[in-house]
Amino acid sequence: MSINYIALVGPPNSGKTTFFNQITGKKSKVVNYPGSTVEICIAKSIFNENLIFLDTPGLYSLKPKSDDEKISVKTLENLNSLVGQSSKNPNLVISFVDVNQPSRHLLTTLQLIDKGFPVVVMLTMFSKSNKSKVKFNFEKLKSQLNVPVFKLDSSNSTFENIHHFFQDYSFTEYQLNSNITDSFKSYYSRIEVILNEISYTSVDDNRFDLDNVFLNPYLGPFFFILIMLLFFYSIFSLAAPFTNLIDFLFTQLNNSVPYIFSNTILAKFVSDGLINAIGSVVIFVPQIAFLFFGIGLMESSGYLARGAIIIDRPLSFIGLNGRCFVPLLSGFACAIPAMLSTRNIQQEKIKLICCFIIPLMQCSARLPVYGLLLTLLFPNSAFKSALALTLIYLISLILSAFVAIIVGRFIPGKTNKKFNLELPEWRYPNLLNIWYSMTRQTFSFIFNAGPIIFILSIILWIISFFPSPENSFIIMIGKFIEPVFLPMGLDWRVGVAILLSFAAREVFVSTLVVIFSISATSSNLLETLSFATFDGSNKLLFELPSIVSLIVFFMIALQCMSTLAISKKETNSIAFASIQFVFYTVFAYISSIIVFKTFNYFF
Amino acid sequence: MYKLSEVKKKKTITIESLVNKEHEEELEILGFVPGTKATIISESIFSGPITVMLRGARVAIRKFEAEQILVV
Repeated sequence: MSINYIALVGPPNSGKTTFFNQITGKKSKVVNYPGSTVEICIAKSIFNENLIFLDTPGLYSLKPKSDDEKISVKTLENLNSLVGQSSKNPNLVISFVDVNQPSRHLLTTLQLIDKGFPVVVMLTMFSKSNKSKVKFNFEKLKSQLNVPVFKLDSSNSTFENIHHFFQDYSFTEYQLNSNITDSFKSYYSRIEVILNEISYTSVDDNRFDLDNVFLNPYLGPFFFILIMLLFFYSIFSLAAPFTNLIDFLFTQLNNSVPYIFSNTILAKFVSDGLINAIGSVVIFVPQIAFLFFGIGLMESSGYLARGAIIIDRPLSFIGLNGRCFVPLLSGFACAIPAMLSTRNIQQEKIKLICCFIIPLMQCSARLPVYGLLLTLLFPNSAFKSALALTLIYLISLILSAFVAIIVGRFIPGKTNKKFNLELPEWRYPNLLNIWYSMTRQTFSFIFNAGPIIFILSIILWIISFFPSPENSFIIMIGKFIEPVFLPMGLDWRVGVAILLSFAAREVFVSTLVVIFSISATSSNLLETLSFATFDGSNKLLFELPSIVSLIVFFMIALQCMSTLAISKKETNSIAFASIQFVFYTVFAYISSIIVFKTFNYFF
Repeated sequence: MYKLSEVKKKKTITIESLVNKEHEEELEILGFVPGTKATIISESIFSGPITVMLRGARVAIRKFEAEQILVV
């Protein structure tokens, strides 16, 4: 039996992904079209190896408006350029229809049928309406549409039925009709006729509508701010124990190295080079995972779309719209998934502005840097550190607003003021879906940023150890570049750490560990740093002006190769990514010098 | 006949026509076609988007777009 490809198509929130996860188990693979970052999940059915399911991005009609929708349509029309060995079109299309809103969702179904695809209709969201909120004649619906129709409810029989269906189903070749010319108006009138024929009625259940609260003109913004504060607070507090645990484990691992390898150069390589390198990647995993979990929770419950509506007005002042909410919010976890989610933004110019300011969102890779610097600044006060961190977040948000306004003037093209968004129903979060998307995104971070950080840390160790630790390559490089960093109040050692952190910010801390541990008298990094002085003088290296100048630098600079790579890919422009890089580097450098000079003058 | 943006919360109205042809198609995909019944879920927050329930879905559109939809 040959392999058949089955595309799952439907509007966002029509239950595609839940079905996909159920029918394929969890082992899905992510694929994308060359040059595009929109992801499509692909996996074999657990019933039958020869059935391969594709979960496409949400689609409202076959006339695509966003990049996401374009890719979904492409999957239908050019499947073979995605998965080489397939036929040109999927062998079968399953069209998802939320049974609570057939008058809109049937639009795609009818278009698919008219276009000539072999279609199976999947009616979803029954569990929500099991108090017979929705009534219609199922048999008549089948005859009206003239394609197989399934009900996807929580009962077990559904998957059995689907299984039986595929056992008997014979896939046939088909030809697509040329473009459909019917207007949306005529499609909607056809849908009205069908709904009349099947006597579709839906009763309003008089449940309390959460939108009365969350979209209320006054309570809405209030809860928005509250939820955002809670979101960030809980991420940091929930991730902290895991981060500490990882830190502890790696320290233990490091301490045990001399016992295994005795005190050789190999031992130094394993502990300072290898284990530090791996540790500096893994340490971020808890925070990133919790950020994605939080975003997943808000998305799955339906709040994310409400947030987008509330933030739309403020964002409109800086030339963006509510659709930028999710990318900007994700930017606080990691710029990479944030940039990927800009493909949901329908207007090209707004998408570019959003991509441009995403690196200013304080991603989790900056946190260890801030953590270290703020502890140096306020050794005895966690409260002051927390306050300073909040200030960093606020300042970066204000800066990003200005940058958005400035960049908006330079990016060609016009934006129109249009913004519309369909709100998903409020529902209980699907923890399984959240778990899948969290693990997928977290692993994608590990595999995107991991190798760079890892390789760099090893190279760093090598050049800091040879030809000899006292006169290594890194010292030569450091002395050479020192003049650049002196105006920021920093010496060559910090300079090297900054230079290397351009690959990835998190390298900064591990570099400091390596560089300062060579000459260290204490094994504690904090202690070593707080007593570190400029070469040949008694002047302390880390004092208020230099620490603040470093923080400002990290707040603004775009020190992340993976982000630049994704930015280039997502905007399809090397120029865009290069300008972004140069802009933020110069901006960061000048700002931190100004900050240093100012603080130095006053304090 | 009046504009969708002027409708009070919880009121149900019927869409009569779209004024601006430029935005017509996008609004049509969302279900704003003449004859469709819609209920206002939330009025605009500080002149932000309004949310309406139509065809079983909740859709938010900006205020100026709502001004281009005539309803009865």
